[in-house]
Amino acid sequence: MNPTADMNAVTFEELLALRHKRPLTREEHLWLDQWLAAHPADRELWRTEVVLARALRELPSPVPSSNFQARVWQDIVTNEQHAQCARQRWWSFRPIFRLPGLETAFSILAVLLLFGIGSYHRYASRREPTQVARGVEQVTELAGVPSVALLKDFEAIRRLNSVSADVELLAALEGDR
Amino acid sequence: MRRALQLIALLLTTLLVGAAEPASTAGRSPVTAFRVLLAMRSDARATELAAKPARVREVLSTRLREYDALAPAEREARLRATELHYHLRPLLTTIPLTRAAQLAVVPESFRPLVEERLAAWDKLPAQIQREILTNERLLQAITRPNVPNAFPPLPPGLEPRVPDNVAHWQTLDAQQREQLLDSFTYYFRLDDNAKTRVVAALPEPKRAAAERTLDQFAQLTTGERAACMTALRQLSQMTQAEQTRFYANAEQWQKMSETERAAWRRVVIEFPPLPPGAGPQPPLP
Repeated sequence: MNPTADMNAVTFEELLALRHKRPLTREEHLWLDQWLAAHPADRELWRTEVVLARALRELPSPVPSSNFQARVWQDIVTNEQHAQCARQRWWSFRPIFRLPGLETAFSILAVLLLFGIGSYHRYASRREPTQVARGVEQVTELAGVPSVALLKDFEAIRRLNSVSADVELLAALEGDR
Repeated sequence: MRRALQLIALLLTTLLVGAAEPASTAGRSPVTAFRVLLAMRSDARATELAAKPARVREVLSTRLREYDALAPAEREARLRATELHYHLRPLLTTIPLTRAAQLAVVPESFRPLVEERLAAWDKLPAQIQREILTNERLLQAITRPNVPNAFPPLPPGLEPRVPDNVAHWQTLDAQQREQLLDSFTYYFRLDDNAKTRVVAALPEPKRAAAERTLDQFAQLTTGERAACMTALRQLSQMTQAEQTRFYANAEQWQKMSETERAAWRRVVIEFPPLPPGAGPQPPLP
């Protein structure tokens, strides 16, 4: 390897990354020594990197709790439920703010119209006691004349002397036979 | 010439009708002979009547005058009712099992009407049947026709009398009558407080009588009240002559026994008037 120009700066960066993955070869060490000798700033960077790597290796490995996996799943489920609740609340409120469709609007309009007509009819058909009293006075006089009992038999009374079979004529004709 | 042809056609038609029906004279109504008399010219009638006994001649002459004065439809309706009575009357006193032979003699054209009335007759209680059989007016009513002026003039001595209250109705127009009847019906839809206010608004002298009538109406069922309102409506729409006849009938009704009234009610319900055109069509002139 010949450390030359900009290409060499890139090689130094690659060696920095590479040393975290595997030990450097002898050839790479030789190239590095030459590069660090020529570039004091990179030497300081390399030294800091080495110290940091050593410190990391010396850190104790954390021991995960026995229910670590279960807690992770529980957190996932909880997060999903929260998200779902939030969506449901949003949907549940949405129709309030949404404009009604044409059919719904027509239905509401029809109901309001019927209610209005019904109210008007009730208002229009409401009568004053004096007005009702006039009808009661005159009709009770009319009904009282034949009496209510006779009114119940109105049709029978009306038909009492109606035209029927001419038995007198029949008798005369039969007598003539 | 034309008259002669018409008379020949009438006689031929009568003969053909007679030939189409069973040959027995028991099945042929004597009304057929009266129809022939009605179709005759006055001189031919006179000749025909002169050959009859005096009592028969008198009745027939009176009836010919009456029937000549009737409108054709009314005349025909009355003749059919009389013919139906002729065929039906003997069957009312026979028991259903032995009727077949007598029914077979009834002209086919009348048979459905006779069978229909017999079916209604058989449904009547025995007591009502007895009442009808002993009351000629009830018997006649079984075959009454449906004619516009079904009420003959009042018998002599029965003065036309319409109460003043009813006569007052005659001065109102149809709309005013309807409004008053409507207000009266409206009263029964009110709550007790509103009813009290209406009664309080009645003129003092008429209040007690009106309250009595209102109480009577209040005790009726909804159906009975509706029937009474229909009757009132019909009564208020009658002409003065019709009202006079109704009140004369009402007086007569009140003098009748309860048994007779019950029979009348049943006859009116079970035997409606013969529909126009019921029975055979008359021979063409």
